[in-house]
Formats: sequence, structure tokens, C-alpha cells
Amino acid sequence: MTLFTRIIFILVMSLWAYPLTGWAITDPLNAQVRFSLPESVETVGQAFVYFLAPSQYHITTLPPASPKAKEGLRATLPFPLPIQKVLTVKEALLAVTPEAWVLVIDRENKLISLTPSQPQQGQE
Amino acid sequence: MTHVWWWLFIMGWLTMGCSHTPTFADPIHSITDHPRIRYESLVSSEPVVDSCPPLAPTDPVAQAPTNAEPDVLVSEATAARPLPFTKPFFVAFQKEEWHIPPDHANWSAVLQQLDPLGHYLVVGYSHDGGEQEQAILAQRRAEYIASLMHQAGFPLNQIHRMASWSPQRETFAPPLGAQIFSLGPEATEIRLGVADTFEPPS
Repeated sequence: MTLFTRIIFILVMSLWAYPLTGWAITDPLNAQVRFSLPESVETVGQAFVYFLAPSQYHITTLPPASPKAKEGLRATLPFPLPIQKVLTVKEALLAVTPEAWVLVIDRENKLISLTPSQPQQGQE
Repeated sequence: MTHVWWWLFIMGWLTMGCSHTPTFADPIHSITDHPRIRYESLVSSEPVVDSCPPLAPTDPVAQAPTNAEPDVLVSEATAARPLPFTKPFFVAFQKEEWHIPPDHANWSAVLQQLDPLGHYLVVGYSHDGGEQEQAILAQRRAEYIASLMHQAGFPLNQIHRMASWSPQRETFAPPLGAQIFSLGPEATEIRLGVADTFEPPS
């Protein structure tokens, strides 16, 4: 095998391997899912549990998460939902989060919580 | 022979183009600056302490620098705050049994009072002298209740399990069954049992 063919061979193999490395998902929240929820899911918390089940993320309501987080997770699902659309898990979580709430993500510890979008008066 | 390599190169190139999406495809989109997403730590960080705090309030006069050996300060220690005690939920088991029907009325009543987002400690008991293989029974009772909770939608990482057994009855524990303790956000210890409920027969 001549030097030229070796170079060509390496080049071709590199080009083959590149897409595989590009497809690697480093954050499970960026994985794509088709938006669909079982009929038993009625609250935001249940939808979070459903979408986060395959990932390593967990929901937390413990401090320093907002003390109002439980309230947000118990809220009913907003309407309309992007049924059958292909979204990332993060987008799906946003879709089931009511407008008045903000999604809080701790990527390092793989935790997720909710907090009110505007701090209520009298609350620090 | 050289033209063979050219053909291999061309065939490889064509196959690559057909079998993949474009080589330099856009990466999967990620939302990093969405107004309704906030990235922050959700784990409380322990404050950094450079040195051990004093055990008792110190008198500034007594702290004047001297060459003498420091006296040992004898003072009343800070009284430990009593932990708020939440009565645990109790699930009864029959003797030598570690299964209950999932639709058991007692279990259904307990399940309805549990918060799906809370952390719980399930303790299986076997302190009845008449039971065989008490350690295994106690463990299986805890595991079984944990599995029922998991089936009901509780994440496994929020269910902690323990077993308690002994050849004789104990005042701090029910003779058989399982208890479910609700763990507070800052719980570091629990109080097992309710003595007045599980007083052994005299």
C-alpha cells in the first residue's frame, strides 16, 4: 500500500467516523422524543416524571429549590400541548410547564425543579 | 493495481454520502438562553469553615493572651433541639407473611397520605419471637412496601429501606409489619417506633 493510498484510507475512515461523534448526546435533556402522554398523566409533576424517566434527571423540591416548587408540580397541564411533535426532552418539559413557572435545571447534579416566574411580593 | 484503489475510494465516498445524513449536519439544538429556563445548582452547599467553632460562648476578658496554659472551659453545652416527630405510617402484616394485597384497605389509606415527591424510609420489622427467619422477613417486608410504593409512582431513589429484627419483642418497634417514615429536607436522624403503641404484653 503506497503512502498516497494510506492517506486516502485514513481520510475516508475519518470522514466516516465524524458523524458518529457528532451524534453523541452529552445531555439527556437534548434527546429527542415524540410528545405523547398517557391518559393517566394529569399534573405537571407526573408529566415531568414521565419525560425524565429515561434520563438520569430527578425532580427536587428540597431547598435550595423554590418552596413553591411543589405547587407548580401539582398544577394541571397547560393547554394546548404539542401532541405528536418531535421535541427535545427540555422542550417537552417546557411545553408542560405553565407560563407562570420557570424550569430550573441543575445539570451538574442532574436535578430539575420549578420556580415562579415572578417572585411574589413579600418573598425574598 | 492503482485503479482498484481509486474505485474503492470512489465507492466508499458514494456509500458514505448515501448512508449518512450530511457529514457536517447541524448538531442537536439545545436551548441555553430560553427565558423560562434557569440553570443553577439545586444542591445546598455547605458553608466553608476554616476552623472549629467554639463549643461555648467565650468571655472576651478570659481570652486575653497569656502565657499560661489555657484553662478548659466548662460550661453548659448548647442544648440539642428536639426533632419534630412525625408519626410514621404503619402497614400491618400477618405472621410469617411479607405480602399484602395491593388493594388492601390499610395500604390504600396509607398510600393516599404519601406525597409522591417526598423521601421516605421504609422499615420492616420482625420482633415476634414466634416468627422464623426474622432477618429475611423484616428485609422482605421493607422491600415489598418499597416495591408497592414504586409501582404507585414513587421514584426508587426517594424510598430508603431498613430492616429491624430481634428474637424478642421490643418496646421501640412493632412486633411485625412495616413503618413508613417521612424524611424531612434536613433529616439526619429518625426516631423509631412509638413506645406507647407497641408496649409488649407483660
